[in-house]
Amino acid sequence: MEEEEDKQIEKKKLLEQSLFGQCRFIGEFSQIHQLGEGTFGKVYKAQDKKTNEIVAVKQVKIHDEREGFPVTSVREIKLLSELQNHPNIVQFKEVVVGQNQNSIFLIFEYCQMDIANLIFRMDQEREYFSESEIKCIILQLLNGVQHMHKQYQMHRDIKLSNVLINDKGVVKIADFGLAREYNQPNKPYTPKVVTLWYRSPELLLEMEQYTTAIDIWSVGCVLAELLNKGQPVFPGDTEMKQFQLICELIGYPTRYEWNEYYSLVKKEVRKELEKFSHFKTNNIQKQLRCSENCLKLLQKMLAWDPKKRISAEKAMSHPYFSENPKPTLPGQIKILERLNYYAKKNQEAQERKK
Amino acid sequence: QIYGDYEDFNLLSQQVDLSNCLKNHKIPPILRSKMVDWMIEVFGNYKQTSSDKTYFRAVGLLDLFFKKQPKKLVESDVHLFGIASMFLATKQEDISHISLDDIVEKVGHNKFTEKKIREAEYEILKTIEMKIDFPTTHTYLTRYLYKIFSSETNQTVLQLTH
Repeated sequence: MEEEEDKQIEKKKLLEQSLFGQCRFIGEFSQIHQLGEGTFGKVYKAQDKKTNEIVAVKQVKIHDEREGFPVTSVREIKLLSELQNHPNIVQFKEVVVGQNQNSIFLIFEYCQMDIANLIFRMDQEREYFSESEIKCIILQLLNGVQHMHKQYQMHRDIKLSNVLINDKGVVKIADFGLAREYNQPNKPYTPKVVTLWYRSPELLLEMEQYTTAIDIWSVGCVLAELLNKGQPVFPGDTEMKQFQLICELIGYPTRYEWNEYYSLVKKEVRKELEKFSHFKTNNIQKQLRCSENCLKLLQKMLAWDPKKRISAEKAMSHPYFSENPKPTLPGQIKILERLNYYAKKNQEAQERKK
Repeated sequence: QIYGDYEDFNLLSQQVDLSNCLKNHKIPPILRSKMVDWMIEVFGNYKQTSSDKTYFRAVGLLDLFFKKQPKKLVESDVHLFGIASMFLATKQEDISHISLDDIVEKVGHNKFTEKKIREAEYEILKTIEMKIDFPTTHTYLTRYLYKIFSSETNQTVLQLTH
C-alpha cells in the first residue's frame, strides 16, 4: 500500500515539476495547524519534510483568473524579494505551487506570535512589558519601517497584529498584502487602506496623495498603544468617531499645525468636522503618563501634518531611546521564556474555533 | 548586528545573467532588437500608466525567458512571448496595468487569443521559476544616480529618474 502511495506522490511531483519549473510542490510540506488569517489568505504552520524546518505557509487567494496571473501576487512576490535580508522584516523563503495550476503558496520563516495576540495572552496572566522592553520593540519596528521606506515602499497596514515576534525577541513586520511602491512625484493612491484604528488623518480625509508618513502615524499609534497597557488609543468604529478620538487626544488641527487641512480638504467636509474644534489641548501626557522625551516623540509621530511627521530613521535616534530606562536587548525580553507556552495556548484556541 | 545596511548586498545577490540569451534558439538577433524597439513603441502609447521601468522589466523578462528556456524556440515565438512579457511587466510595475483586452486587441491586433497569452505568461513564469524581481538596467542606473549625486531629496534629479 505504502509503496503505491509513494509512487503516486512521486508521479504528482514529476507532473508538478514539469508544470512549474523548479518550484517545489506543496506536498513537500506537512501542515501542522492554522496560525491565522492574513489580508489575502490563510496562514498555516508547517514543516518542510526535507529539512524538518518549521515554516509558515501562506496561501494566496486568487480572485481574478481572467487577467492571467493575479496582480496582487505579482506585487507581493516582487515586494517581498525586494525587502529581503533585513532582520526586522519577515523572511520570505520561496514560492511553492499547489495541485491546482492556480494555487500558489508563499513560504515564510516561522515566528511564534504576533504582538497583539501576545499582549492578549499576557493580560490573562496579569503580565505586561516593561518600558525598556517597549522601547526595544518599537526600535526594531522602526528599523524595519526605515528599511522599507528606504526602498520606496509603504506598508500601509502597520498594526500590532501585523508585527510578529520570535523566540529570540526579534520583531518582524509581516503581511505585505497592502504594501506598495512610493514614487517621488506623487501619484494618487487609494485612501481606503490601513485598519481604521491606525489610519492617519490624511487618509481619513481621503487625500489621495499620501506619503510614507502614513506608516509613521501607525507606528505612533502602536507606541501609544503599548504605553497604554495594550489598549488601543483610537478605537473608533466609524471614520467620524475616529476623527473625534484623534481630536480628543491631540487637539483640533490649527492652521499653523496643518495648513493643507485648510487648503485641500473640501469646505463641506470641514464644516462637519468643526464640531470637534473645541478640543484644543494636547492630552497625550494626561492619558499616558509618559516622560518628557517620550511625549516629544509621540507628538512628532502623531503630528497632523504629514510633512511635519518625523521620519523612521530620525525617530530611531530620538533621545527617548537613549534616556533611562534604556532599551533592552532583543534576547533579554522577559516574556520570551513563556512565548512557547503562549503559542501553544493560541494553537488550542485555534483548534477550539474549528 | 540588528541595525545594518543591506541594500547593495541585496542588489548583488539577485543579479541574473542575461548574456547570450539567444544561444540555444533559432532566433536571429535582429528579430529580438526589433521586438525591443516595438516594446518602446507600445509602452509609448501608454504613457499615462507605464514608465521606463515597465519597459526595462519587459525586456529583462523576455531575455531571462530566452536564457532559461531549454526548448528550441523559433522566430514565430518571439512575437507571442514578447507580448506576454509586456503583459507580465505592466502587471508588475504599473499602478493600473494594461488590461488583457487591450493587450489582445490594441497591442496584439487580435493575432493571439486571450488564452494563448495567458498560457504564454504561465510558460514564462514557470521557466524563470517565479523570479520576476531581478534588478534590471533601470534599477542599476537609478541606484548609481542616487549614489553619485546622493540626491534622494533633490527634486530635480528625482524627476529625471522617474
